[in-house]
Amino acid sequence: MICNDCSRRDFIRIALGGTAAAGLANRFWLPSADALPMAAKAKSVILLWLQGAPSQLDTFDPKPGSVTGGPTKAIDTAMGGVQFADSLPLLAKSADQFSLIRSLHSNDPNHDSARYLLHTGWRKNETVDHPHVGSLVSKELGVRKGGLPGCITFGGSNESGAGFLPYDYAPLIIEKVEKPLEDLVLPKGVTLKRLRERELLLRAQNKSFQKDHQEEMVDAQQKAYDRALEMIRSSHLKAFDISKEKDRLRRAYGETPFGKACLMARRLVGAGVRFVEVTLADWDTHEDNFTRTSELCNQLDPAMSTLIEDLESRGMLDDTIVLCMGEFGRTPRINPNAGRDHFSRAFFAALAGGGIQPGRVVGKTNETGTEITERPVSVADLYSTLYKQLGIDPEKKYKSKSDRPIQILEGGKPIHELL
Amino acid sequence: MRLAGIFLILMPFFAEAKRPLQNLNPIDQYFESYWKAEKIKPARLTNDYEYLRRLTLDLGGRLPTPDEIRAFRANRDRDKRAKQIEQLIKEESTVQFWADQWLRILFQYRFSETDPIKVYFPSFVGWLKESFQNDLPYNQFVTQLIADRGDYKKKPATNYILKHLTPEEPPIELTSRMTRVFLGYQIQCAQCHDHPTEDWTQENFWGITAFFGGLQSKARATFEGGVSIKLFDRGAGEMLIPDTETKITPRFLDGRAPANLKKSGTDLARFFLEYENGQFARALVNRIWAHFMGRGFVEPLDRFGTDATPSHPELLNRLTELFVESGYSLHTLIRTFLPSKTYQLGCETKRQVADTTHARMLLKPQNPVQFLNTLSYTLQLDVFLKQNYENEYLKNPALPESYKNEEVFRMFLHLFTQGLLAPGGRAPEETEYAGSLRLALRLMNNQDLQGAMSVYYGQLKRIMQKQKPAERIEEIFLTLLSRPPSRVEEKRYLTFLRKKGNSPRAYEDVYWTLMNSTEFIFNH
Repeated sequence: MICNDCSRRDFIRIALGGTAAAGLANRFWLPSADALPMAAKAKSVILLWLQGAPSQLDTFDPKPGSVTGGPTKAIDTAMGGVQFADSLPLLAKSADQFSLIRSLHSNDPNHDSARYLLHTGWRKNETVDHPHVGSLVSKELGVRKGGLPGCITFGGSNESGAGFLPYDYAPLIIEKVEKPLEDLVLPKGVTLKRLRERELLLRAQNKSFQKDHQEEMVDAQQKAYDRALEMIRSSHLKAFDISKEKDRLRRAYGETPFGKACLMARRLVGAGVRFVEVTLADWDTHEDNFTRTSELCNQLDPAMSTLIEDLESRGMLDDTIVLCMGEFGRTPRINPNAGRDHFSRAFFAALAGGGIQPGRVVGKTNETGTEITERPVSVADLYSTLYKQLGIDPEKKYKSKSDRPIQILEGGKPIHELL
Repeated sequence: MRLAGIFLILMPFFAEAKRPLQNLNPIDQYFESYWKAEKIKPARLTNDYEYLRRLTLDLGGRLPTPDEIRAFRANRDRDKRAKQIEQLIKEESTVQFWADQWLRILFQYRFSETDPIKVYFPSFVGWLKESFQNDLPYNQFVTQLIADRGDYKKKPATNYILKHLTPEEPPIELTSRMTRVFLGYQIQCAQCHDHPTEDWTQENFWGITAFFGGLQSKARATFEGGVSIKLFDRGAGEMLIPDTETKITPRFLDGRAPANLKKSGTDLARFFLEYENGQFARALVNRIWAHFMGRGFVEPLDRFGTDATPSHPELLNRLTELFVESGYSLHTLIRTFLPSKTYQLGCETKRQVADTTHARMLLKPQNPVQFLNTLSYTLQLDVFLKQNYENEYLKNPALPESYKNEEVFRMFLHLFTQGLLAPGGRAPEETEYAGSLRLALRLMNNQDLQGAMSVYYGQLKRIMQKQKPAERIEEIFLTLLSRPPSRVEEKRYLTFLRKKGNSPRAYEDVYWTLMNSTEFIFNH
């Protein structure tokens, strides 16, 4: 059932020939098929997660010359009249391909709970366990059969998982980018033939226990093994293999774990994965903010700009959203350790693809970056935009584990400037 | 009278299922008439293998060893099941298990890598262990957690509050956690607004939080070169509810205010204990019941005080009375629950009965602590993790001294299995996982764990010292499933081994199969 809608849509797409027709087809199907997202423009998401909370003032909202600006210099960009920090030269050049929100805000300056907020659209509380946005997107849009899971995260945070959704929607966490297939490929000495023998023994072993214990947990366990075996044998695993890519492209992404994971993310989306999260960690710059932020930018800049271009050149950007953000921002005040501390009153998110209008800036902060002066955007607004582009109805209700009805998203309005 | 009560509870009435007995256990008394009235036929009693596995996992947090299983099976003592409880309850590994449990409950299943900066794990875990070992009365346990002030090594219970203190804001998490864990109430929604369906108001939430308004921690260097942290109370005072003009002073749920603001912790502890006629005792009985029986009378455990009525209010009250009469003794609860016939029922789903009837044992997933112990035993996972993480934590010169101890290391081990079991998710309560793709992949494929399933290592190496294939098969079964193979199973594996020429690899395949089996994962 979970894959019906995606295959049907793919079919329509092929039948009508190309992306332009897809919108039409969706509209055509709307009255009868509520599984078909209405006017969905995007069908997958790549989240570039800047773990630790990046300094907006030393990346996408620099304040050169002001008391809070620090030594960071600004450069002009292809986003008319907008400047970035000079450690983002490639993104500056390709800034007409994405848009920027400079007025994102929350009142949560704690890493754990803010990570939860930015990954679920919900403030963390101990009553309801909300799913990771990637799990939710997989559930809503469907997971392609016979292949990879709907949501894959590289170095994902442990704040949110499948939440109240069935366990099969939990993100598959890839711990080491250098060894992405660690538990996905057969260990030494185990061939496909031996795996088959083991599988037969295992199925025989499980039979009587399953007969005696007909309950959900036991089924879930069996399903996990079915999925695992399917994945081990899946031809889509080669999506993790970037050695087939051209050297020039690999170098353009950057030969860093982050760059490599971004390239894998593009391949995985191509293989039908709905949501890929790639983490770039260590933005928590309480000390030595300027050097560290600019070093991190050296990884972010080539990877993100190349990813957007790569998707664009393959015609994938139309239905893939690239979203880049962290938990919150950092204080305009520079502390005695040349660091910046936690600041959730104004921070940024960058978005590209999936029908998001490129080259736009939403919101503004004052000269010193201490306040939002124009168009504050809440996390719920951001999520509402995301769901709109994916054709997900934010008012759809699920049941929590304790049987409480829960809406996909509460509050928030799509950011019309970006649509 | 009290002595007599405990004596009766301990009476060994179930050594043999066939023997007709007058059942005096309060749980059985209740359920026997309940099942009769509802015309429900309870499941059969467990056999020795099932019972020992279940008991050892539930009470001891680990799997029984083949030697223990054989000894238990061979034991002709009619009281052996009750005696096994007595033996287990004293074991060091059991004490460690319950300390682990409490640590997870009190921290609400969430650890952070920065915890060891605020919390001195050796003293806190040491105190939790002592509390279980000495059966510290639960009312005193709660009082110490809420009211103790002072140095975190000399007053170990202070670590609980210290974990939740931040310089930036009052420890609001403590308000929701204390009410959840100690009372079984959820009031955290009232943090931001009056609760829509329940009685809690924002004043309720912030009134408790105001008790913590004066709490501070102070670190100082010690002569030995370490750090010592002290929890003290400047005196709770007035505070503003954030983003409002409402001023609030310390006030408990029932409106009571502390007599002495500088010692408000003592009053707060008393308010907790006295609230609604000892609700804290009922919440604890419900928690322990859920741990052993797989489902609370009130479920989720923190839904007391809502429209949810307990599944068996009369029994819950009876058990709570018994708990209070025993002097808030956790051991007494254990000694009441575990010898009951109700606890000893089989857990097959052959007859369809509602979970709340307890006419069969509910299938339970192993929680992360149990699973850590299970994997440490069957794959020597602890050894493997230590090799991998020792330099990162225990021997990392960049980390403060408070990180470099076994208790902190154990916390990271918990995190490891927690991550495996509930991939990327928290385990809100104890029964929240099954069907983890990540775990399946790891157990099936992980190169290092494969190594641990080899005939040259650990359990299988030991097992291969047996000579006959059938003996080895039996030993693999006892080690992993805590029972011998059925005849069908034995035949199936012997045929397989014969086909493979009894090669060592074929034994690894058998070990692999049982490690990945559904039966292995569950507590049944």
